[in-house]
Amino acid sequence: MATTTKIRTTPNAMPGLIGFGILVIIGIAAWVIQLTQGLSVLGIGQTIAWGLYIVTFLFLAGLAGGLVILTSLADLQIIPNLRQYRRSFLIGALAAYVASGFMILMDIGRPFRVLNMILSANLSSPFVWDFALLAVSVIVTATYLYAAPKGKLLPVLAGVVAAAVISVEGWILSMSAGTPLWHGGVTPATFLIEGFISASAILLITQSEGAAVQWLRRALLVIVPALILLNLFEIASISYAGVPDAQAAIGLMLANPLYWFVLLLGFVLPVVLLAGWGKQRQAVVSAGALLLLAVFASKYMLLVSGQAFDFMQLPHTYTPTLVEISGVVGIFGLAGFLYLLGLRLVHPKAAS
Amino acid sequence: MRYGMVINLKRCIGCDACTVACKQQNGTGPGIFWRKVVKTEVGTYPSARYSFLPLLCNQCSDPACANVCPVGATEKQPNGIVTVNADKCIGCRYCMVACPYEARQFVNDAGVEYFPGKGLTPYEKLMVTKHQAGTVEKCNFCQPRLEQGLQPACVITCPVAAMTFGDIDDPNSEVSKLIAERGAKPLKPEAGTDPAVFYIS
Repeated sequence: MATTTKIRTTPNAMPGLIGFGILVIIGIAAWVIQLTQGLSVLGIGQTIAWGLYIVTFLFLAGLAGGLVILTSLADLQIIPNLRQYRRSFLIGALAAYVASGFMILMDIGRPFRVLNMILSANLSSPFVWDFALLAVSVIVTATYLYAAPKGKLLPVLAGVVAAAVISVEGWILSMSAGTPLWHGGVTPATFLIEGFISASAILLITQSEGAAVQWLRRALLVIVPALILLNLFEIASISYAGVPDAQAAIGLMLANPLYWFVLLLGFVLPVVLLAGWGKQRQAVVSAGALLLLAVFASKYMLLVSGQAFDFMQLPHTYTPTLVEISGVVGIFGLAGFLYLLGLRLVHPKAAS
Repeated sequence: MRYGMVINLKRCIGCDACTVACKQQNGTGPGIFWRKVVKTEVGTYPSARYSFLPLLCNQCSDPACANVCPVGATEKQPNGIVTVNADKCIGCRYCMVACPYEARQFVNDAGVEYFPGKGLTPYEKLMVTKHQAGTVEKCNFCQPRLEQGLQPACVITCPVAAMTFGDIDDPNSEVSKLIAERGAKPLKPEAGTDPAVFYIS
């Protein structure tokens, strides 16, 4: 018996799909350049080996995990009136997970050997844990999208798996012996909080009002200052008693105007906006956008500062190249494209 | 049996003969250094001087690079040498980030000539086949030479005999005696990787 799948169309989806599709093509062009000319077309080098691609990977996976966690909290009736967005959130999470996976594929020197991650997986590597958890999370999130979340099991499972993905990505950095700045439990904890913040920021930007937004606004008024404090405690601890390499990295980070820019405009200003003008649309949207950018910039600074010093504590610089930026643009385009495609393919009733 | 090395920093003159010998032996491409001599200026005028620190893979007994490698391309050999299987490596560079000794090098392109526009020299053509673009590589204590009963190229090339190579598990070996008698110490012991390269300073 032949079956036909009817793709539901929404009036405004096609321009978005075309726009994101163009971004994807830009990304593919960047990847082709990489594949033909090697990773020397990127800004990374022998000292700073991880750059914008890894930042984007961490950001997207954190955002995806955050979206699943928020949905889970909504289904568990902790966040009010958020269930209406569960389809969008979960499709967005799946799109971000898949895009983050492609970002890693673009980052590695031998992408055609990626199956070695399965065929000869080294189970002691946090990368393998992350790879496995990402795969599990995609399956669980897809199941969660379609399953009616009447009980508590699936929301809890989806939330826990999403939190595990974000935590393990923190571990990828914090378990690295060669980079003292990333060591310790703060990095995974920070990533978890940032995942929550970035997912919340998406809702602030797209909805800006309603009970769910107000709940998240109040939550952010606690969580964002907590994140700032957590970072300050870490900086204070390392500055006071840390190993010299970590101290040098912290010094470099604090000397970077971007750090203060992100702290004041990316984290402090949104708190002020949400506290003082939390019911004004423009203020809420601005706060969300600033928080989203701040989370991305924070990961960038952590990643680059952690690697910036060589063995003799001489600083190295990193500037993303046009190819690299194009690759990232393509990945964000892919996330957007998959999101819109998901909205068209997944029937609202199937994911209600 | 565990191969190890003692480097006497009091002898090192920073001539980079070891660096060049390593490049000749292993045919590494431009910008790739399996070992290097880091030079820093210490003190202030009129007492300023250069300080030299040869850096290479420390062939750790608990190598951070091997632990984090997602595909098991980095392996610890029974003789203590940490090797990279280039056929397995996916080029994720996690090992580079994890290594406390900056020992790992990423090969962007395995066919880059030393004399731009002149093409590969016959020796470069021969050696380029030993390297794979998009993978990470590092010092292996000149394992092919060891298999022939020879010392690593850097050790025999050093004009001031600053390096001593041997079995650090054998208490009667010269390296073991140097470690015991001269108080040779590893770099960054706090990294917990138990290196097999020791320095007399």
